[in-house]
Amino acid sequence: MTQKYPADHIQHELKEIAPQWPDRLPKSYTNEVPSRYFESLTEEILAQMSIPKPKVEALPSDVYFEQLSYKLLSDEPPVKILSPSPWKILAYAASVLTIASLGFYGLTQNEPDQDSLSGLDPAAADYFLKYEVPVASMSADPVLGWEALDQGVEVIPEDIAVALEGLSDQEIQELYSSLLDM
Amino acid sequence: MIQIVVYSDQDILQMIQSANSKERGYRLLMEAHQRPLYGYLRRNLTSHEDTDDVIQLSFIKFFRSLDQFEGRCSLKTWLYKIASNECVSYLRSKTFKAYQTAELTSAHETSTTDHGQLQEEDIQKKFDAALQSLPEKQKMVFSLRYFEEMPYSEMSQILETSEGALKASYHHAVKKIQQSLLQQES
Repeated sequence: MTQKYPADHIQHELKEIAPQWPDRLPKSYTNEVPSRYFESLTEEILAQMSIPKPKVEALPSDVYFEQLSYKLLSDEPPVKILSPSPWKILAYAASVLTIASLGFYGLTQNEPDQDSLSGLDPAAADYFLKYEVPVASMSADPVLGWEALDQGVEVIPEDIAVALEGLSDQEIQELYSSLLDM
Repeated sequence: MIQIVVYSDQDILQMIQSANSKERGYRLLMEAHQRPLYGYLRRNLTSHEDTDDVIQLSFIKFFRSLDQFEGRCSLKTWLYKIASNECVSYLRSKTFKAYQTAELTSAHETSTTDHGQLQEEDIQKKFDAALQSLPEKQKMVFSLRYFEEMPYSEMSQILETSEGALKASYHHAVKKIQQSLLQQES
């Protein structure tokens, strides 16, 4: 005998109200959130539980910025959700900068798929499909993200320097390490 | 041949009590529960940012309270109980209420100004608006039952409410959602 789940029951009742109702509602919001979010969430909580992280080697600032710029303009996956806020801004900035470097503007605020990417430069389309850029999470940022991108606002490296203001040397080094791990 | 190891709550608690395996224990618990817990909280809090805040607080409190865990329920139930309390505290904050009202107004305006055929996204918005219109506790009952398909016995431990009351609450939630959808349609 097939078990009747509560979801099936209410789905049937909702269909009677609105026949256009889809057969099955999404059961979870987790599809909207990239796996990287959960990885960074784990690390964030372990850090708060005072479990020591591996030591990050210090780098001279000129080497750091040179490597950071290279990293942001390379074809590595650009987004990692970090907290607190300045880290998020930096991650968004990194993402927008990388996208801008591909010469691609105006993607809609949807998860990328073949249809929404049709007509684009093939390299840009491959990039979005390969890394499934988490558009929904980026659009939550009012300053940097898709809204800015839609308006043709370019994010320049100075924006990243501003985002780094107020962070300690150790935080910057940890951030750098995070970017390398993307 | 791949061997799958399933750790019991007791195994994980022992790991956490030992300095050498503490991190592994925390990681096992997070890997097992963070995605479903995220889904549960997100449906009650609506935005990723709020969910991110509450899920972090919930896990921290959960880990810090493990020495008080007496094994009278599962670790999952204990975690969801803490998360539900955190969620209620968050929902009752003045800031969140103002934000939620604005979001609901916006969602309602969107749904009532579009007279075209219902699109999936539109339906989802209407359903979310109907869900958000439920009282806090009823919303949690509905989420645990409908989305998590959780038995009433487990829900009873998490929400500290009798199974009979939970069944009634779920029934009322379904009716309210139906009414809300009908009003949005008319």
